Amino acid sequence: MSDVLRIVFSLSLSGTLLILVLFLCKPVYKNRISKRWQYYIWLVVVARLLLPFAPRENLMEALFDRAGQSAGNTIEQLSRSTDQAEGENIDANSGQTSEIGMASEGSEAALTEQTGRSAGQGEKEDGPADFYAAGGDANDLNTGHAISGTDSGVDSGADGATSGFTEKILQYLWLIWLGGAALLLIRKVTMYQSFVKYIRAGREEVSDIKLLDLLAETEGQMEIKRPLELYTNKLVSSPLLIGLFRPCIILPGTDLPEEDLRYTIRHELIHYRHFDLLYKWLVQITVCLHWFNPFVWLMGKETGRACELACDETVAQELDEEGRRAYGDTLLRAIKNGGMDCFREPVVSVTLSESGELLKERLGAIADFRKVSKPVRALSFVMAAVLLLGGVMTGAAAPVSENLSKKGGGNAMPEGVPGKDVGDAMSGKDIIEDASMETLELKGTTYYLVFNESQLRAIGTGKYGLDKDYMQQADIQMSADEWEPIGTMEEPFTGSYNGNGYEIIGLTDAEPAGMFGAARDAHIYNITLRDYNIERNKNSAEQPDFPILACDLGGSRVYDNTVYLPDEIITGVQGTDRARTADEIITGVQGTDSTQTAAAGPAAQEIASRAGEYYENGNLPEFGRAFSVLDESSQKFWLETIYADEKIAFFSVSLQQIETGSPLIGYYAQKAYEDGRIAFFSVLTDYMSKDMLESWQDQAAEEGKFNFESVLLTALGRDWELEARQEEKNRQREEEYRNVGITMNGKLRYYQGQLVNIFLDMSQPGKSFYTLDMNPDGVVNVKIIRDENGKIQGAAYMTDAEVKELFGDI
Amino acid sequence: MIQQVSNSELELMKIVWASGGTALYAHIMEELSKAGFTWQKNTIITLLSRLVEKGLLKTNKIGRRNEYTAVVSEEDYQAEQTQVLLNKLYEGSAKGLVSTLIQREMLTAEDYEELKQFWERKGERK
Repeated sequence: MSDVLRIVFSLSLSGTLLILVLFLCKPVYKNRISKRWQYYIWLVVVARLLLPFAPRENLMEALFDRAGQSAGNTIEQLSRSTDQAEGENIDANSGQTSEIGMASEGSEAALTEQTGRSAGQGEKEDGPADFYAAGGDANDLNTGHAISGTDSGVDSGADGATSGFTEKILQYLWLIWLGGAALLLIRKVTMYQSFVKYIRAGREEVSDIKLLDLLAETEGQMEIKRPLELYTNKLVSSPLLIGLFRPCIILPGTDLPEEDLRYTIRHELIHYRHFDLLYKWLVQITVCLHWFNPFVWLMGKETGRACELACDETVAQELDEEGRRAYGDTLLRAIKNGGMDCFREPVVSVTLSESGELLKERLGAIADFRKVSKPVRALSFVMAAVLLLGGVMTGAAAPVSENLSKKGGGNAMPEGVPGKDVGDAMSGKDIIEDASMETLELKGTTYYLVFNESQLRAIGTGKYGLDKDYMQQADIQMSADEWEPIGTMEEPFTGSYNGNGYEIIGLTDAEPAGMFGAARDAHIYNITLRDYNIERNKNSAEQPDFPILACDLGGSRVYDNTVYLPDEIITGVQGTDRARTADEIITGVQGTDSTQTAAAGPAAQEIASRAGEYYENGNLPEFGRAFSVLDESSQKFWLETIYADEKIAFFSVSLQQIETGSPLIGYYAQKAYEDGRIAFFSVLTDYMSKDMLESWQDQAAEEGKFNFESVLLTALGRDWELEARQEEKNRQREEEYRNVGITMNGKLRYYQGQLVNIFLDMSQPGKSFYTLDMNPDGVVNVKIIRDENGKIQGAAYMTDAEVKELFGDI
Repeated sequence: MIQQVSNSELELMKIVWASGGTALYAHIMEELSKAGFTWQKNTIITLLSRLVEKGLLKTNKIGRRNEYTAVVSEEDYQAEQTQVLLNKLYEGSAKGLVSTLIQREMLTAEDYEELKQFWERKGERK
């Protein structure tokens, strides 16, 4: 079977399991859990169906791993998995315990996980049974080679006869899948386009200010910043929201009672705020890709219902009993012909009876609306988490060719399961390590993550070049194999390696070299070597010992590394501190009483104690990390220092650890305000509560501190007010100009009737902003004269020297 | 052909024209409230963006502020609208319009004299 199909089928099957769980559990959660949960939970399924990522070991991998050799088996599996009798499962499972190999351990773990969950949710009896069937069958097939006389054995025998022909078909099966998906998607898109065209042709802008104001008011209440367009179109049967990029609301008409309009607008705006259009498209794409899977179609339908129910729920939430009744009435009136839908997509048409049924459900839900209690909310959260975990575990089968590298975590795993942890937990430590590394993006740098020895040894080979950035992610126990230093004199290491405080234990160095052989302009730090084996070096007493970096060809920064010598060596070197920093060793300070670093303590303490160092070196990210583990009084100390030194970047990094609205924020806000440090104040606004911002805004407005006001208004999102204030400010200034003889006509300035060429106003002496207008047609150069307080004294012609000075800067 | 605008949109256009063809958003807000309109902020933004779409206004971002510039002058707009009126009601005959104006005493005798002189001057030039 081709790789593409392998992925698609595994995703489909994996998603189907989740869909089944949700459908089977529906009677249980339907009336108990919030409708919004019931709506958004499908996103987990959609994600499972769309994202071909999974942990290293998962149900689908196990299922497809060996069974995938013949698609006949797989398809057989698909059909059999759903209708297998329970008794047979038990057989298969009992066989499993004795037969399964290493690889299926993972799937077993996943299975127990899932059955445990199903039982915990109080699912119907046949739910877990069905579910188990798929898994049980999978194991059956995994071990099928050992069990004689099973179905799969017979099937593959039958397949063998026509294998030549089937093979060919299977080879091109993926084309059929792709063709189907493309055809469906194109059909959906073109139908949507023609629908949009149809809507657009007959629409008219709503020019009734009362209605527009109603929309704007509702947008304001719902904190929707972007104004939506409002149209009417007599051709639509019910109100709808349309347009993924420029959403607008379309009403069938405006001759409705105000109440109806109000609820209609609210309903559509909630669709907008819920990102329902995006959601719908996501589901449509999923359906297109999994067109062969009826369960996915079923899911498409279900999400449509859930979407409306969730929207109604949100409307109802803000209404009282009477309001809800009125909303129901509105719905009833509006739905006479179809439904109050957000873009009733024309591809899957909703028949009348169905929409009637949905309406009944919606009205029932509105009437029975009650706030969801806290425990239920907690429960729904847990359920979502469990389903998500289920989604991760059922996983997907990787392409065969990728399989090897994937085992090592070559694929990114957005589910947030770090490769190593899963690997260890699922399949034990025996799994063969693979050298491929995951990557991590941090501030524009790609770090290759080093979890194990193979990965460490891979540095400098293949795509893991000597110029890359590496970050260690786990303690690494090295084998006794000889260590090949990273980088040579000919090809030095030029990237960076961050040991991250993790240890490398038992590095065996045969040559008198270090972990790194040679480096240039490299960045090597935070490495901890334990039991570093330097047996030979010790004997050659003449040679200095370079455990971290043997030879620096210039420009490298090597720091914060720690080397613990093995016990036997320690006893040999009398009085040596057990921890010696590698930096000392490198510089050749071989004293027996070298200063001890705090390396022995927990990493957090160590980092904290280094805050000072990071601060001095300007190492912002490390300082931020250190700051986060400091106690409160140390944090205060550092904030005070940073503020005094005016190091705004450090200030910003540190504040990230302080709670929004904490008294500390208030304290510095006061200080920055009084000191006129607008930059610090601006950083602080990110951490102020709304009340704080508002009270500062009042004060700044009262005291006429316009620069503070502008920062605060921006933080409060009151841009319009800011514009108005700026406008007012400009007007005031123009008036001041007028008083000293400078007038404005359109965009041209005049001074005593003469057109001005250069106009310069250093608003506040010593401050960096000033007004400079230039008009090449002008004949005179004028500047504004201000006193020390910035008050305008008058205007004067500029001397040639002054003009020269002004342009000298430019 | 200038697209038709609603009364409220025209109200905004008048403000832009009155301030020399270019106005900042804040200025428009202010003029509106002076004129006694209490429209919502989003309503005004919607109306302005419709005017931009119809090609009557151009928007220009100055820093964070929006500046609106009239693409069509008030005179042009009036001329265009008169043409529309003429075509619609008088089948393109300006005479018909003028006679209606006179008949309904919407045009004074002096206005008429002035108009006549204007017309004759035009004829001479030809």
